[in-house]
Amino acid sequence: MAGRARQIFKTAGGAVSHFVTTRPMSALLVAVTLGALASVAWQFAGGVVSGARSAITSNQVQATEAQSHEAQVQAGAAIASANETAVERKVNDQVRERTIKPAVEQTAREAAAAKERVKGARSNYEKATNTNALRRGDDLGALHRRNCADLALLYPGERFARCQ
Amino acid sequence: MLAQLVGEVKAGRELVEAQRAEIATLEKQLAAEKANSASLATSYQAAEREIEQLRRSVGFLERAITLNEQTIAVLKSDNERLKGEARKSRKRAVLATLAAGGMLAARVLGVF
Repeated sequence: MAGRARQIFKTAGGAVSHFVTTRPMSALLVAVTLGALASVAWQFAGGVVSGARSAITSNQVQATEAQSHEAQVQAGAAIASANETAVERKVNDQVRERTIKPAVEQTAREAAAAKERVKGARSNYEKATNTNALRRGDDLGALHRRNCADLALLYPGERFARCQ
Repeated sequence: MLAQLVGEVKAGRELVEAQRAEIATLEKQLAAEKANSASLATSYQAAEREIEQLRRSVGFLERAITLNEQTIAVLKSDNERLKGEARKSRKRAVLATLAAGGMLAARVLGVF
């Protein structure tokens, strides 16, 4: 088999050698033509490879664009949710500002006024207690006698325990 | 003395009434403050949710930006490759044209 192939190559080589030596210009033309054909084939192969690479690039771009779009949609949904929450919060803030805050301020004013009233009442009470001779440590016997005399004046004819 | 005691009792009753009124007012104030506090807590929780949602959206947008940058890099790389191929193709076309022109000229001049 190898010997036959060697014989075929030898015969073809002899024919080519004969052709080149007898008709050199024609051989050159054939060589240039074959070179041109090889160049076209090379360009075609390059185009096929380039097309395949472009297809791969296109797939990559489509994939990243799809993922980016999905992320943008999710971001939009999150922003919409945040906006809804913001609206709820603002409504709650408005209710607080319009109804609750005035009530708080009103009750604070009322509490301050009540505190002042208590202060006045306490002052009056302290004045009343300070003028009480009993609390000043006066003579309790004399005080008792004066009380009984007061009761006799206020309620004549009435009998009071421990005033007899 | 009795008049003093009566006055003292009267002042004491007035003080007690004033204190009762103050207690009632303070209870009203407490209720209003509780309502205000509950409203503030609701607003605070809503603000926290809002911030969390905005943080999530920022994360998604950052991811989208990263992906878009990747896309831009791939497209730039592909563009550069295509530009290089176009340059090579132009060179080959010029060489082929020159070769064809040379062969035609040789044929016309009778070299072949």
